[in-house]
Amino acid sequence: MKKLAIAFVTLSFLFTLGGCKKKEPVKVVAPGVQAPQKKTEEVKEKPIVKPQVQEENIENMSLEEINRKGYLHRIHFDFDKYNIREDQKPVLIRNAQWLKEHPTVKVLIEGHCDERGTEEYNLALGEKRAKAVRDFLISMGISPDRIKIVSYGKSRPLDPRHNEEAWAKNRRAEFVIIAR
Amino acid sequence: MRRFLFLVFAIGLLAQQEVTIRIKGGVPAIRIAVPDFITKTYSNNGKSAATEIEDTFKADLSFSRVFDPLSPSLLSLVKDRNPEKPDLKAWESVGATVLFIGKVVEEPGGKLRFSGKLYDTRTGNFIFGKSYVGKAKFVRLMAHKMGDELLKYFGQPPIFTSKIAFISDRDGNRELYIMDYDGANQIRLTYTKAMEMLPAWSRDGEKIAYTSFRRGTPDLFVRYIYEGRDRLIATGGSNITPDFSLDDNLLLYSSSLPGNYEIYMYNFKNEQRRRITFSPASDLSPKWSPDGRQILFSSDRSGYPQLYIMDRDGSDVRRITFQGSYNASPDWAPDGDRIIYVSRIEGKFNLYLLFLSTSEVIKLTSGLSMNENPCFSPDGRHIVFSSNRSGKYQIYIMDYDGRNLRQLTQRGNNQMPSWSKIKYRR
Repeated sequence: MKKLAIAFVTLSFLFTLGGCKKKEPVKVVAPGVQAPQKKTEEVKEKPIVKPQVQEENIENMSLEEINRKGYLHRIHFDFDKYNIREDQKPVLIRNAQWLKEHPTVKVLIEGHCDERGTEEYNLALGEKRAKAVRDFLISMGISPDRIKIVSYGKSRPLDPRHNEEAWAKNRRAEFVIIAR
Repeated sequence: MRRFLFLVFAIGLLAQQEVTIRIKGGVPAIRIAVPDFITKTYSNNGKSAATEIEDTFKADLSFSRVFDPLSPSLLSLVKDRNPEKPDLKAWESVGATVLFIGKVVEEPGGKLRFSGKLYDTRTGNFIFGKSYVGKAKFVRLMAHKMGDELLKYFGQPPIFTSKIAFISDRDGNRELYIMDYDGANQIRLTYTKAMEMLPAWSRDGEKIAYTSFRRGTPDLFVRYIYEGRDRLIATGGSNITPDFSLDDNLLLYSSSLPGNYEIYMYNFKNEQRRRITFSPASDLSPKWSPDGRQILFSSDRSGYPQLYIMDRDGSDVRRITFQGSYNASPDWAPDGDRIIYVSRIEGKFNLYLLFLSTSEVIKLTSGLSMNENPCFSPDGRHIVFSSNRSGKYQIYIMDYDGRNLRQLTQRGNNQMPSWSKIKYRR
């Protein structure tokens, strides 16, 4: 009697489950169709970056490209002065190091001034600045025949404004690579 | 009008005493009557050309500081306008010492004839008559030539046909240009796409020495403007600030070839050059004295730029500026007594006039802007210079006493003017 009762309950349970399953397929099938679409979208959101390292060889670059890269950095000067400032020496030391690593490179040093001098004396001052930089590079072991100098005086300001900030920017020596 | 005289002090003493003084100079202005021109034109072009001749001629006389043209109200008082037999007594009675009767006629073919007659109202004498014929595009030149004849009659250098060379970046980069003294006919001369600087006219008005970066470095060239060719004069180091001698055979300039700027003299005939200065400083802007015996220049041998005069062989160097700590860009007036230069005070550049005979110094410009590269007119009555008072650099002219300031250029930056020289002996 007891076994019969358990079997009935089990049967009726199974019947109930079976009854439920009959309704299920409609619900299950619908999400089953949409699911693959969602997965595709997720892949797009997480692209895989392929690691790349480009070999940089200045021998394969035009002079224009080399100069655009800015391997050599400009330095700045005090008003009416052409001595190399202490805080600018590390920049020149880095430039000298780069030139040593690229022994075929030739460089033009441009001397520039702020506007507070006559055209003539600024040409002279810019030349003194370029020479001071050249002498520093030579003292670091760079051959003099790799260095040319020119002064543009006040004719090519970086910042055209007429204030201390602009003047400080414009008193400078620029490095232009003229041969690789 | 107040002008300021800065007394001469020892170096370092910046204290200045301002005193009003009178400028001696020029000649008593000649009272000239220029009644409206008689014109006979047949086309609109002819009519506007006639107007341009008259306007240009009158503007020249007003500019000169030699002539003092009668005002229109005084001119209107004389009713008798018979051009063949002018009523000289009537012209004298309104204050004119000379009378100019101008006539412009349009000729067949579109050319214009500009004739003028000059009368002395006191003696009643006919002084001279002149006539010029030219195409409509050259009418300004005809007017200037007539004006020059008047100047020459009164013993003055003919300046109305003079020109100004200058540097302009109006088309992108700094190139060499020329224009008439009044700003008309601006013509570009170089197309290097590099950079041109600091031009200087020859005495014959046919050459301009200037610095060009066309080869990468500042080299000195001479442009033969009516041939269109250039001659390379100096290269190696920087080569700047040229000045032609009276006979155009010797060119002074500064070169940094020896390591610092020194003054050199280049001889066009034998193509030899001679070094004139020997100092470890920057010796710049050499200028021949009007008699050709001395050289004015600037040097920072004392620490900062000051002006010096030496004999043409480099001997007997003496300093002439003692006030201010930055005096440069000098030019020597044709009278030999006045020197105009730029002085930097607190970062601003103004123009100063130094009288060698008295050591008086007069400040000619003021304000917060930069005023640079002054240059005398061939008669010494006017000064051309560049200034950024309007924002960009423009070229201005003013009279020897700072009056009658006018702007000659508009487009781009226009700088470093050089007024042409004139070979003229009274």
